[in-house]
Amino acid sequence: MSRILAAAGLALLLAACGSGSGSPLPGAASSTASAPATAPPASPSSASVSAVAAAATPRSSAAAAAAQPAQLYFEADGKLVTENTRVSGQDPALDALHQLLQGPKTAGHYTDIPNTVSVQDVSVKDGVATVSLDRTFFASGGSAGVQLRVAQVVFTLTQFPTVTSVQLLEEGQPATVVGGEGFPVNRPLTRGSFSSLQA
Amino acid sequence: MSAFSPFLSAGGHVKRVLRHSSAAVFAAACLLSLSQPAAAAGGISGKTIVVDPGHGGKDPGAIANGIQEKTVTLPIAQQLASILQAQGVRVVMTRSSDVNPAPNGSVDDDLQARVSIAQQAHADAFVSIHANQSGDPNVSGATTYYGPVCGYYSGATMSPTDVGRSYSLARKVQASLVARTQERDNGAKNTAFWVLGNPGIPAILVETAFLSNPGEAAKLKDPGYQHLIADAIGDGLNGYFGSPDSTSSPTAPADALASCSARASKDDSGGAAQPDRWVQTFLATGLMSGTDAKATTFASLPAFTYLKWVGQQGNFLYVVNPDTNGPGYVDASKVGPSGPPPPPPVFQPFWVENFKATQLWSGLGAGAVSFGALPVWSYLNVVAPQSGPRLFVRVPATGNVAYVDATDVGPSGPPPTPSAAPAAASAPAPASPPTPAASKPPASATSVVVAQGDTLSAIGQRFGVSVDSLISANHLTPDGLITIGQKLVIPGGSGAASPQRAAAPAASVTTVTVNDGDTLSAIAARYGVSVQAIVSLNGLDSPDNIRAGQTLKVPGS
Repeated sequence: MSRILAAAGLALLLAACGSGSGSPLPGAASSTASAPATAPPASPSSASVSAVAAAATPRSSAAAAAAQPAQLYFEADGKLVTENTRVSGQDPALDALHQLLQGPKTAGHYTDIPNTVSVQDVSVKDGVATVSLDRTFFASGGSAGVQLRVAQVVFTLTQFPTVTSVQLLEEGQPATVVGGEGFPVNRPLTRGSFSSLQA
Repeated sequence: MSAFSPFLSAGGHVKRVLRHSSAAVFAAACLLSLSQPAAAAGGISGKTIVVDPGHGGKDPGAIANGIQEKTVTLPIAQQLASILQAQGVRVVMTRSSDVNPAPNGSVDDDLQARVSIAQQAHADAFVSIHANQSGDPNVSGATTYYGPVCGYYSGATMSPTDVGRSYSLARKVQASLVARTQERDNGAKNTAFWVLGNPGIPAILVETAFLSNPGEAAKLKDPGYQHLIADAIGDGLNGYFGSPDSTSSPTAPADALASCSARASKDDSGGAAQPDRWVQTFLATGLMSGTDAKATTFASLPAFTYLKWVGQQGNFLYVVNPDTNGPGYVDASKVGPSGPPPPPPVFQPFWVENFKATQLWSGLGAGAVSFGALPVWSYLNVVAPQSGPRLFVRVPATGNVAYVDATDVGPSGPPPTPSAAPAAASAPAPASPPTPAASKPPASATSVVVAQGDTLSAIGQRFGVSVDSLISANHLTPDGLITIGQKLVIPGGSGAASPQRAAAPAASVTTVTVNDGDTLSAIAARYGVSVQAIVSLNGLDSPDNIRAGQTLKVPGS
């Protein structure tokens, strides 16, 4: 928590000299929340959307808000590994996903997400991050690769305190399965869904 | 009962449903051998084994090191089929060339066709052959998957015995494969891959080696190595059918046996758990054989028919009609959001009058004694389902309960007026009409949480508002994109006829979406209401039976 608050402070400093360009992306927690990030994850209301956004800055500062430390999840030898990065305080979930899709920066790290995949939308509500991806995300791979592919997204998003599970959408429609083995993704997935993949 | 047992009880209409997908499959399913056993190899001779070469046709599977997975799985499966035939096994292959088992089908149809072939064949085992792939080219080895009891996208359920036998088969095949190939042993793992939800049939999916590993890819292309793999899998099958596990209920790891409701209320380790979901039509509509222009409508569904939700394909839901056990497609815009199963039929007391003087009996059968006479035109409250020639009634005049001959009473009618039956006040009031159609809609629904399968037009029709007004009231994009879990404001909030079961007093009800890790008691505490209040308001079977993503109504505190 202290790390997030520190990030919030930094974000606010940066915000003071923000460019003022850009509107928030869909699902961006864009309120000018002044309260500390105390919303419990199980809060019944959508107020919890923004524990991440407690680090949020005024909406005019998107470009300058690259302030929050975060981790991206990749693969090494069939297990998940992390890389450290910084993500926008404005919309950390979307930014983290964009960076995830760019692939690993460390030798020996690999990604199981096809390089054709693009994120269409991310929104967070009541602990569930709903992520719309284009259909190439759902294409066949090996059964190991397919599970790692989904796990990379789930782990990267569930690092944020407002996100406990991830619901995938295939081009805006409810997702069914990934790959020709039929790995089911028709319900919110948690880290617990992939316990065998953690290093 | 599994979601797909209807395929087994194939009545005429079921065959018609399958015309465009799986029926073609059954014809394509290649019965390789009915030859008689040459020698009894353990217990395998005479068994029926379905061999499923992974992927095929439009679906190449994994692609790595210049190899498409489907080109490797087929020859391994064909060699396995030959080996098993020589041992007296009746082998059924889901495909014997580079095709999809469900021609022109979606991934869903393709996978379900493989399950249907095994179910139709009454297989003793199902073996799906695959080659693995991972982003890291160093990853290597063999893995054999078996399925958990639930969590399949198809909605299938495996019994604990099915899971135990699948686990036993997976371990024996995995051990044989590793011993013969000297590959890295990645173990027998449980994951809810579609084809492993194969009720009544021990089912495994063998990931033979990694195509993404250059060394293993070279081996997988080699016919000699393909034969080694096939032989090893055959040995594992022999070991299984020669062991007591194949006829008993062997145990399996707890996470594979965990119920999906328990899993959903904790974490969903072991796969994406999917308890039964149901939808209800709110307009009369048709059950169709497919989703394209060639599809035929083979059954009409009255409004407020409950359907078991199996999957979604575009604007159509794939459902099973519990009244007929018939699967088919329905227009998603004609049904409400998914919810829990329909409540079990509840007996509703009703009133009758005897049209001639009759006896009150002590019981149903011939041994019952008569202990009183009823004058003609007595009002009687029938308080239990009829199970024989007599009706169990309460006589309002006395409050006594007894049996009367069903042939002596007229049809059910309205309760007596107070003057006609002074004691009626003590009798149980007839409950509301039994059809869900007559359930009370929320009087003033002002918002709705989007559930899976919802469409904007369906929501609009449900609440009697236009799609345009929903778009503008909720500041949606012009194409009306909505997402699961999204809360929509209903403009006007008049609450037109709703198909949703609402036993609820509509006065003040909050809708809450269940988060992962939520328990009913936590939700109850959060809103300051009792667990029982939520259970009864939502018609839940048990307080443990909630799942993440489910929307619950919470009574006003």
